[in-house]
Amino acid sequence: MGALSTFLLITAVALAARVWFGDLHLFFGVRVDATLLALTLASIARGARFGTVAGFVLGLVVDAVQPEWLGASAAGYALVGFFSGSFGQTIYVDRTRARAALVIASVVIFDIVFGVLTVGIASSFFSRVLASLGSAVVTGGITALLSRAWQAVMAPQASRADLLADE
Amino acid sequence: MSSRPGAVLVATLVAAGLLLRVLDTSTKSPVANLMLNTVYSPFFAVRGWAQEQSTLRSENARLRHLLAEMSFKAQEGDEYAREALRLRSLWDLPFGRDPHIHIGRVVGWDRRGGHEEVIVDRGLSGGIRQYAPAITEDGVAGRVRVVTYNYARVQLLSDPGCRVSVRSTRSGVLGVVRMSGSSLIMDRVSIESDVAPGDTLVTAGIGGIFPAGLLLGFVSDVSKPAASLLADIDVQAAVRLDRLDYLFFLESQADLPPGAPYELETGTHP
Repeated sequence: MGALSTFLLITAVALAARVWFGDLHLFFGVRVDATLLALTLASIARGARFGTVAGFVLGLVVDAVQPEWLGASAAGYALVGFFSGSFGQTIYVDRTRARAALVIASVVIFDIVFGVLTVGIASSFFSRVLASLGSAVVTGGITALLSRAWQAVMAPQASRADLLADE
Repeated sequence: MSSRPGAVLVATLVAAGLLLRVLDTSTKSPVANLMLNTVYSPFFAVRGWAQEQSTLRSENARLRHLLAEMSFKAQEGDEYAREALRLRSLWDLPFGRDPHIHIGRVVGWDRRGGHEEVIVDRGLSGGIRQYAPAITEDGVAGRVRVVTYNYARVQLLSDPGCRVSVRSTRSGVLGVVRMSGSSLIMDRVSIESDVAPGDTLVTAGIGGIFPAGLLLGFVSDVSKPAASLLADIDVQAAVRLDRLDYLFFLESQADLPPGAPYELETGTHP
């Protein structure tokens, strides 16, 4: 799949998730950011440059819903795309745990950047930190589940080997 | 980690993001609106369509439920209307305004031993007496053979033991209607009598059970064998005896209008 196709795919996923489910808030501010999840996984596969540009454009699209924040998500997603793309190219991230850890780190990075750029808009610092950590863990868990499901469906043999390796 | 151009790119884009963030909202709004109207528009359209479909489905289900409910009520209304018509036609009978008429609902059939009887849910407690004529709005159906406190057994015209004296409204010829084999016949009529297919037969009122003038049926066929003194007359009952639901019961002979020539019916009462 080419870079443009990948970008269009994750944009469609992000927009559909935004339009249909909003931010997927679960509880106590914990949420699942489908845009970030798609961006991180695509950046791991496509590299840092793709991740940076795609993150910036996706961020602009996401921010369009609330014009006063325009730029905040763009900066955050650009950094996340760069970060996950860089690690995806330089370290071994085929394993489920490594992917989940990278997604968790991406969520934290994005929340830090977004929180700094939107100070005064949302709730208190403490609750934002807790919500961010919760979101990171939940999103990381979803990543792990998706990753295992993908391995089981697409490459059963490799999946078994990966599972054994993970043990 | 990453190459220098990659770092420059991310630094540039992050800086651009920061710049956009600090811009005045009124400056950013047109851009945001443009994106909403272009990029988001198809997704909003799809969501709107899906929501509309969902609304239509639930509305459709609600309307179907309502339709079923209304259909049931309409059927119920039709049934009430039919019942009202039956009662009105009974009211139009010569003795229809007589308050001594009782109604019973058919709750069972008994065809054992060659009998043709129905069971109704009213008995002595409902004012029904033994031998009381059982009629419908169409005519004579039979008479009460056995009655208990809460139920009554009605011997239908199609029962071999039932006999009813009748008279032709056209010629006045008298006879007795009874079952013979699987046919209802008019018996005891001379071959010289004036009876023809299509004649209307009403109760003669000489049996002591049925008052005179109740429609019983019609002559459907007449044959006059040369070697016999009596004509073979087939009768079609006015009442559909296989479709009884309600029966009306007249008070027994003691309550019938005085002056009529009553005699005991020539039926058998097993």
